[in-house]
Amino acid sequence: MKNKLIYLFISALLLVSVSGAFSQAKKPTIMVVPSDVWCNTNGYMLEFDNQGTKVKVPDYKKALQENADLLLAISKVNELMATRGFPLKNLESALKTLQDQAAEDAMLTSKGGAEVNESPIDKLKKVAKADIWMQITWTVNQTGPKKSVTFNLQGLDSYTDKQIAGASGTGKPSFSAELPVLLEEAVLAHIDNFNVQLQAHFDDMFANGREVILRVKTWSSFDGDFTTEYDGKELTEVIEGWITENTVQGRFSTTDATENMLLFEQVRIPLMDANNKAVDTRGWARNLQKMLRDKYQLDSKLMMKGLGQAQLVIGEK
Amino acid sequence: MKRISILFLALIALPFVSLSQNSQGKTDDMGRVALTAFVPEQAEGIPASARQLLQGKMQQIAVQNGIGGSGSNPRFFIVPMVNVLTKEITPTAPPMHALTLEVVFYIVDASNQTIFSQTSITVKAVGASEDKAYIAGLKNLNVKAGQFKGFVETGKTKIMEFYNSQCDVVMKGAQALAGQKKYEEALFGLLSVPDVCRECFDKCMDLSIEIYKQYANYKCTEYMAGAKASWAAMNSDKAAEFLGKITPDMECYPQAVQLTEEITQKMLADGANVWTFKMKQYDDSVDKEKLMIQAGKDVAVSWAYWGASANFNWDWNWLYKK
Repeated sequence: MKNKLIYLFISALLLVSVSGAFSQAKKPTIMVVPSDVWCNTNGYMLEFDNQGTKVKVPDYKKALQENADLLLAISKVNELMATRGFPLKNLESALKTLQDQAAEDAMLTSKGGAEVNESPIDKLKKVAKADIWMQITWTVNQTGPKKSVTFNLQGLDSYTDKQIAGASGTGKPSFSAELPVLLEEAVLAHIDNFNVQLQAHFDDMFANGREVILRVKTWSSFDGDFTTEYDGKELTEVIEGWITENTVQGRFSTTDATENMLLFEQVRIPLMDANNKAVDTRGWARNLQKMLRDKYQLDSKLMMKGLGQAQLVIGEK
Repeated sequence: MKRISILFLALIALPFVSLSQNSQGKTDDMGRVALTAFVPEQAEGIPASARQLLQGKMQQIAVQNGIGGSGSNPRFFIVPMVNVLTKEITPTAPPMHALTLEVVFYIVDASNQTIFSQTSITVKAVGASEDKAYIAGLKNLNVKAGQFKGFVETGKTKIMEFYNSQCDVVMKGAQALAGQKKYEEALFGLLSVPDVCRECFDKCMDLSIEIYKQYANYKCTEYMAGAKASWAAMNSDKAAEFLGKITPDMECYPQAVQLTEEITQKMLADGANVWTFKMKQYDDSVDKEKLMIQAGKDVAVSWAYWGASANFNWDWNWLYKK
C-alpha cells in the first residue's frame, strides 16, 4: 500500500513537471483556413499566368469577405478550440494586420528621411503565418428532401508537411435543419477527436523533440562546396556530425545532399536547451552557425521560417 | 639685376593670374548631348503603373552620367526592355509574386533604328500583386551602378560619331525639308546637332539661319495676306494682329510698314485717334544673326513640343518584335 502511494505521488509529480515544462516551451501557433478544394468549388480562387502555366491559388480574403458560412465554420472551430485550451490565430485578422503593417512600413521614415530596409525576402515573408494549419472542408449533400454535411478537418504541420491530426465524417441527414446548424453539428461532432490527435502530437513533440527542417546552402561567392574537406572530413560530414550530437537521440534524416545543398528532414530538436530555455529552429541552428564560424572560419547567413524551418547559407553573411 | 626684377614681378603677379581664372568646372563637352528617356508601348509586360517609375529611373541614369535628358530632342533615346527570368506565385495568404527581372537598357537612334549602346541589370522583385512586385523591383534599381557610366559614355560617343560622319546627310535632309516648306522640321533637325560636334554644329547653324530666313519670308507673305484681307474688311485690330507678327528681318517688312502707314493715315482722316499700332523695330546693337538662331530654335522647339506625338511616332517594332 505504501509503495503504491509513493508510486502515485511520483507519477503526479512527473505530470506536473512535464506540463509545467511544456507551458514554457515555444508553443506552435494554429490557424484555421478553408481548404483549396473548398475555395475552388466555391469560386474563391485567383488565377495567374506563370510564364505559360495557369496557376490557381486560394483567395482567402475574398472568401472571408463574401461567404458567411465559412465565417461561421471558422468561428465555431476557433471557439471550441479556445475552450479546450488551444487559442487560435484568426486568419481574417492576420490578413488585416498584414495590410496595415504594409501601409505602415511604406509610410515609416526617420527624421533624416531614411526608409525602412526591406529586401525581397523580407517582402516574401509578409504573409499569414502559423505553425499548424487547420484546413477545413465541407460539402452539402442532398438526398431527396434530406440534407447532410460531409466535414473534413486536417491539422497540417506547415514545416514538415505532415498531417498531425484529422477528423472527417458525414453528419446525420436532416429534413429541416439549416446549413449553419448542420455545420455547427459537424464541427462539434469532430472537434474532440481532432483534439485528441493534436494533443498526442504535442506529447510526442515533448517526448521526442520538435520535428523541424533544416536547409543548408552555399552562396555563389563561397570558395568551396559541401565536398570540401575540413580536418579530413567533408563539410557534409561535419554538419551531419553536429546535427547527430544536437538532436534528441540523434534523430534526423538527410533527404537531399548535393555539393551545393543539404536538406535535413525529421530533425528532432529539443524543446529546451541545457539552460532550460525554450528553443526554436533558428536558436538551434544558430549554434551550428557558431560552430562553423569558430571552428572552420566559415561565415553564414541564417534565416528562419516560423518555429520549424531554418535555412543556413554558407559563404558570407 | 634686370632678370631678378622680372622674376620678382612675375612671382608677385602669379597669384592674381590664378585668381582671375574661374574655379568652376567647365561643363564636359560631351555633357551637352541630349537623350530622351522613354518607355515605348511596344515594351510589353511592363505594367502601366511601373512605366512612369522606369522612365524616371532612366532619366536619372542619363542625368547622373552627364547626359542631359531633353524631351524636345526625341531622336536619341534611352529605352528599356524587361525580361522575366523567373516568376513564382506562392500559395500563401496573400499570394506573393516573386519575380527575377532582367532590365535591358538601350541607347538608340530611333530615326535610323540603330542601337548605340546596351547594358542589363537583374533585379529581384516581390509583391502582393504582379504590379506591386514590378514597382518594388524597379524601385530598388540602383541607378548609380558602375555599369551605367560606361553604357552612357558609349552612347554619347556614338551620337557624336553619328553627327561627325553624317553631317552632310543631316544638312541635305534639312534642305530637302525646307524645299517642301517643312521649315520647322528642317530647323529642328539642324538645331538638334550638339555643339560638341563643333564643325557640324557651325555648318548647321549657318544653314539654319538661311532656312530661318526662308521660313520668315514664307510666314511674312502669309501675315501680309492676312493683314491686307483684314484691312479690306475694315478690321483694323485683326490687321494689327497680323502686322505685329512681322519682324524687321522679314523680306516683306517694308510693305508691312507701308500698310501700317496707310491704315494710320486712313484712321486719322476718319477722325479716329486711337490706332496706336507700331511696327516692331530692332535696335542697331542687336546681333541679328544670334537673334535669328534663337528665333529658329523657338520655332523648332515649339514644333517638336506641340506636334511631338505626331512628329515622333517612331516605329519601335525593330527593337521589340525581333
